Amino acid sequence: MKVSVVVNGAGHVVDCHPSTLLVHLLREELQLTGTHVGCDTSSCGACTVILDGAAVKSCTVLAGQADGREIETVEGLGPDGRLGPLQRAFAEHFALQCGFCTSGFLMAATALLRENPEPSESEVRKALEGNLCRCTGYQHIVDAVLSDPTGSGQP
Amino acid sequence: MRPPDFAFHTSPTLEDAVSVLASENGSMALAGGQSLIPMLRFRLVRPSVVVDIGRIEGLDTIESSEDILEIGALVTTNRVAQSSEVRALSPLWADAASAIADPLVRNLGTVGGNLAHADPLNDLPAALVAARGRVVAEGANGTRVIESDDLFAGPFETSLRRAELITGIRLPRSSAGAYEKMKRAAADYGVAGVAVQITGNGSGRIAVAGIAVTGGEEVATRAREAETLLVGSDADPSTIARAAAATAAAARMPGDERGSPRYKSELVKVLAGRAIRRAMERGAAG
Ligand SMILES: Cc1cc2nc3c(=O)[nH]c(=O)nc-3n(C[C@H](O)[C@H](O)[C@H](O)COP(=O)(O)OP(=O)(O)OC[C@H]3O[C@@H](n4cnc5c(N)ncnc54)[C@H](O)[C@@H]3O)c2cc1C
Ligand code: FES
Ligand code: FES
Repeated sequence: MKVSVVVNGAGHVVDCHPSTLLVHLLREELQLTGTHVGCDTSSCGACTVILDGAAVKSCTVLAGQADGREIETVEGLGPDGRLGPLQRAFAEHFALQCGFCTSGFLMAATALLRENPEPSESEVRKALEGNLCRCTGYQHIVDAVLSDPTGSGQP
Repeated sequence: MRPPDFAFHTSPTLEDAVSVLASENGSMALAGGQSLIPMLRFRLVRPSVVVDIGRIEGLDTIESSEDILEIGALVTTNRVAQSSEVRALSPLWADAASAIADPLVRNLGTVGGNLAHADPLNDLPAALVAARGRVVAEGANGTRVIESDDLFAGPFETSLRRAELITGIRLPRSSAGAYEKMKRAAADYGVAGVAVQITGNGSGRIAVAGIAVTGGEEVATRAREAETLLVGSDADPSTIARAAAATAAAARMPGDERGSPRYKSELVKVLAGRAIRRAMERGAAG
């Protein structure tokens, strides 16, 4: 079946099998391998992308559900190969070690900060409940998201 | 793990979805996909056609009248969790929806799918039963309204007919409701949950009590004896304690990796006591 998607602002028409998952469409058809598959059981959030404004697990979305929709992946956070503000905040706060979970956390946190530019610590923790990290113990990730990386909390 | 082969059909309308589901053998409806897609990947189901009902218009509204709160089948569980209207008119449902999985799952998972899937660990079935809500369903033979007590037939089984879809739910409004859930990890299914909704008689006594348990042997076990104990009382501590014990007895908690029957039944007792107290406090506050 033909699926048309806008990924990080660019339109694509992909001819794929109806049973294709969005994460495989991104990784294998569009070669956007920043989105990871961690658990494959819908539990870890490593595959998080933003679909029409909402953070979702791309391993739990069928390609046909994404047809005609807009998708943002981690590649969209640093378009010119340079890190965006939230990515820099992650680096500065030691919010990653192996980095496997990082793209998922970045996308979930991006969706949160758009909706709620000045979240409390508990709001950050709630918004990131669907993302697992086996390395950092979460505190540094929470610190990075709370560091007002986009400057939107500034007067 | 990749899903098995199937054809994918996007239904533009409810009529189209019902007619495709009725005519295609082995077809299955897909709403948010947060239960169906994991089942496809584990190959627990092998539909010939997946019928995407997620784009049907008009099934994603939250509306209220004088005594009823109506929620469309395609409203996501995150919207229910965040809606100030639901928080005010059915705090039980606001609690239960907020307790589901994690925000990523809730952004896609729907009210209709959560009920129709009838997973004994899904949180909304108990919230429906405790609220004495009704489900509106549309099939080849038209529309019918199903009482909460008649919807769940057993684990993963409902009384919905083939090609019959939930289009929305109707909940009696009550500010005296609460859902208490215990989970092992932030984004896990619960070990157990207890839903409570109460209606007062206007002079400090309970007129109607609804109590249902998540995680028991049945889907959304109604705790009838506990309800009877509460009705007519003013929810004094000893009545609450007896109702909580009766709730645990009714639930018949199965043992599994989440805990032994004894542990879980003790847990249900604690959760039931908390949920009743919280519902009463909320009712008193407004
Ligand atoms: C990691 C994880 C954790 C979870 N934890 C919880 C939890 O703690 N509590 C909880 O309640 N749920 C939990 N869930 C399940 C989640 O809430 C699902 O969204 C829900 O069970 C199904 O809703 P859906 O819209 O995603 O339905 P789908 O997955 O699309 O469909 C599920 C089933 O319902 C049928 N169906 C869907 N919509 C309708 C309709 N309108 N009418 C008739 N049949 C329909 C489908 O044919 C299918 O058989 C979890 C899921 C995951 C992946
Ligand atoms: S790979 Fe999607 S949730 Fe783990
Ligand atoms: S940095 Fe290794 S899993 Fe998160």
